[in-house]
Amino acid sequence: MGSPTTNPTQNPSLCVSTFTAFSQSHADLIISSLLSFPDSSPTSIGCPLDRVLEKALASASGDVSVQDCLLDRALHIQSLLLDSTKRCFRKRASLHNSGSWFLPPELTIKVFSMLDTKSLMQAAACCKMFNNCAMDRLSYAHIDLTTATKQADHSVVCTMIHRAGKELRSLKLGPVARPAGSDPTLTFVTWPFLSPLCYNHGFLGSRLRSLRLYNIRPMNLSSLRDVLSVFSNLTDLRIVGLISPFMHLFKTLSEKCRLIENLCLETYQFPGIIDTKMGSPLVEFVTNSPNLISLTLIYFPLTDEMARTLVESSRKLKYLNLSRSSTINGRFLRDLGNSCKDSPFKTLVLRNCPNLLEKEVLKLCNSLLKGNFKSIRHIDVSNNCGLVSEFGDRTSKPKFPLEKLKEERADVTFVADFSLTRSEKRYGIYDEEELRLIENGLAENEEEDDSRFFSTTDDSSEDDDLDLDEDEDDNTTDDTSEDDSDEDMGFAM
Amino acid sequence: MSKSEKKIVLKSLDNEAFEVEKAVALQSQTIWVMCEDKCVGNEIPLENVTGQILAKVIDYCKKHAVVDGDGDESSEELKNWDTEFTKNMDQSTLFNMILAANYLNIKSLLNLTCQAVADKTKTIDEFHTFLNIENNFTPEEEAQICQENLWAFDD
Repeated sequence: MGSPTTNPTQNPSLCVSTFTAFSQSHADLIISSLLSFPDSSPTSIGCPLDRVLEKALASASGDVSVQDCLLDRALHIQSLLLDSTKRCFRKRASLHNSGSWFLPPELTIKVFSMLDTKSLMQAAACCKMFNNCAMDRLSYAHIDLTTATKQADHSVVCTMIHRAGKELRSLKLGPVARPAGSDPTLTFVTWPFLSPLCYNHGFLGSRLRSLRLYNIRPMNLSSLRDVLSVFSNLTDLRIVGLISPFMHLFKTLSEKCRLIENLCLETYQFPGIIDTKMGSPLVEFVTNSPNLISLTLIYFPLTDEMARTLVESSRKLKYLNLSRSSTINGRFLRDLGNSCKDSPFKTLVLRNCPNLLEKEVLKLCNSLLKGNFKSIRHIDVSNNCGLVSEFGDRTSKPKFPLEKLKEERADVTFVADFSLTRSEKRYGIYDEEELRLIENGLAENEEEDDSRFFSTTDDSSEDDDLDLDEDEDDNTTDDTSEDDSDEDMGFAM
Repeated sequence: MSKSEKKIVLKSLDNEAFEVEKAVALQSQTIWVMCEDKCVGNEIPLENVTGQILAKVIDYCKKHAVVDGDGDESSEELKNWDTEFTKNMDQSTLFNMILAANYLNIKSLLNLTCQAVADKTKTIDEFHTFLNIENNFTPEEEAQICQENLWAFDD
């Protein structure tokens, strides 16, 4: 840059005229001599500057306007030097980044779309190139605010939805793990947060494929039903922490969300039991959802008859998870052996069902040996506190014909683990781990003495949130899901 | 079909040749289209992929060809294999895998590798260190960006 270095006492208007007379090489010379200035101490360049400035001010002989002008010019020159240095710095850093990051923008955006939204914001603050990519709509296709539950309020959610616009495909909100001793009145996000999705007859909402809401309080069911009714293309729905009465929800789902493939609901409380009469909207939903392949109802007090009806009502159902149901004893498995002969039913998970009978599981084993449940590949009856034996007490060492099963039904993975272990996984909550976390969700609230899971936390939810990530990792075990193999399971085959 | 027709040779940028089952190679949409158009012989030159990366891509395709064919094979086992596969890759290998998966058009591998990068970078420090990215914002710009998304920087 060529900075004019005329006599500072001269009138600034003269500077302009003398500027052109200044040769470029002369300007370069001045700057390079400035840069070669020894920097042994911070005052080494400051002192001469002070001296020169003071001298120039003194020679202005008390003319205030000339003195002002002089100081302004000094400041101006310095800011030009600073700007130039920053430009240089940015250029160098950008050059470094383009060498280090050689993905084209569309792939950068693809990576960004897989980040949780909090991390995406951090990426945006990394460098200019990232910032540009992080402002692309596609980077917000999968909004995941589960890692920023304390900070993500209504306006954050709306801003993110707005940034995604028509590219929005999935949305995850709320804390995945329910803080121990959770307070049902606790508000994480206020309820109208999904309203932008309903504008314009649900223009944005109809593009959503996956919605996951975790422990959102207070749960406003009628608002929820209103927004669900515009999600006509939803294939994946997960709501953790439903509060009764929610049976009408199934009515909305079977009428408005006809494409659902995966449904996972966990209830926080449900008074009474769900028999075929009470649960008729649920049966209707299963019957009328042609694409439903996976159904997970956690802590749902379903009767055994209801469980059987659910499996029999669906033609495509491959995965059923009724973990933590306090009412199921396993009787429904007897009838299921025959009725699901030709169905694609593949996976059955009944983890932590406190009333599951050893006797019924044994019958299931025998039924498997007889060749029933042709398509089944995975069964999980693991339980933190054992199964109910025929004498009414609990047993952690049921006598299942595991060896024989292994020989005769090698196609089935039978998991019966009675001391669930912690996960060593560090990164991310993957689907199965998350599900396992939800399955374990209330177990420790119900059994205060079972301290293997949640590290003891006090009731103030603020603190609990801080420990969230750690808790999530600690509470999940590696195995789960439709098809897992379970090397670390006690009775795994 | 004779045995030779079931095999296919993939040649990398640095002229390394890999002979693989056709079913393995056809997981790449790019190769699939080439074969479909019959525009190539039994040897396919891949000008954007080095031998080192191609070897890894083939490992992935072999694993997934077997399992996909079997249908009922445990998907959990496959998932664990995938996790192990990307776990110890350094930044530049991962990027090259992403580029290769993109060029060869293997959707699942592209998703896996992009996800692996996303999983390794959660905080601004990890972006700077793992991805080797330097901040080229002026302090004012940086402050403004943080201010706009203040919630994401509040621990």
